[in-house]
Amino acid sequence: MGPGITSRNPEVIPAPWDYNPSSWPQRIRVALLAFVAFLIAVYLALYQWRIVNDVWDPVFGDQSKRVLDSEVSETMRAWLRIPDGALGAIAYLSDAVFALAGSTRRWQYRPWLVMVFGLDVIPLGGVSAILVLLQATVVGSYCFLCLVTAAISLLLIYFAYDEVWSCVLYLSRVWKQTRNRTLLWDVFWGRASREADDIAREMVKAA
Amino acid sequence: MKWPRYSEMLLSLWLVAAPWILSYGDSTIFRTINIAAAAGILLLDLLSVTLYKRYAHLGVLGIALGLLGHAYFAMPPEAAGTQNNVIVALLLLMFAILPTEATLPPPSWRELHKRD
Repeated sequence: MGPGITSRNPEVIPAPWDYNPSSWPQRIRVALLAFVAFLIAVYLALYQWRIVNDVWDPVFGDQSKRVLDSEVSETMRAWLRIPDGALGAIAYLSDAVFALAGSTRRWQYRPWLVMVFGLDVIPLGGVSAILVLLQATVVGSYCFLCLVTAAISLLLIYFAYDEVWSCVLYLSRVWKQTRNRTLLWDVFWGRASREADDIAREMVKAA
Repeated sequence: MKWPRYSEMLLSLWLVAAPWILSYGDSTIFRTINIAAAAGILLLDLLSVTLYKRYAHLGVLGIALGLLGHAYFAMPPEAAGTQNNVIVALLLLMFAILPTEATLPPPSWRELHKRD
């Protein structure tokens, strides 16, 4: 048995980092940040529903309202059935929820969960941030709180990629060392395997 | 810590209450669909939580997709009920993919490391 790999000491540091990206402090930081973006998006959705009559914007003033009431936003609302602010709120809430699910070794125990989390935060967050940043060219106005949520999306990518990278590294080592599709499939879905555990031991040190 | 299932149960209670709180109109079919969906979610979650049927909660994915499809294709586009059901269905999809004992390692890994 490798150093620190017992059920009494389940927290270990996976390569290539000198910290555990699946530890609670790392993931709670992501969840808190996503929750702040969730609250901002709820506030923007409340304006789009006209439950609140005004939007706070200390920089661009009334431009925020023009963005939130724009034709682009209304078209998206017709497609989605809900305001884009509400969809953003659900997306940020899912970032927080997926950050909190799983153990402190989920990069090994539940790769599928880390991948869902990664897909939610990295490509989807990246695309939504780019869309918000492009709003001036499409709508001709800026919305301060939308830009804040876009900045949070980019920060979330920065904070989330390490865990996804460890997970990809683990899966690629399982594949390279075994060339066994069935084992890789089982490992991805979180089924235990002595062989995969040995591979994981090679890429960790005790926390 | 079975918080994904408890969250789904709370959402199912909201599904039952929403037609009265948000006034979905006179259509009893919307109310019936919401009550049926809520009953299905509660049943699947109780199976997951009390009888340890580990994958029963995945049935909630089907119910959520059904609610989403119904809201998109059979309900008035801008109605409060439509928006409510779309949001609840998306939240259900989010919780339903999570395992019941969400913050613990999967049972097979726990078993393997217990033997070490």
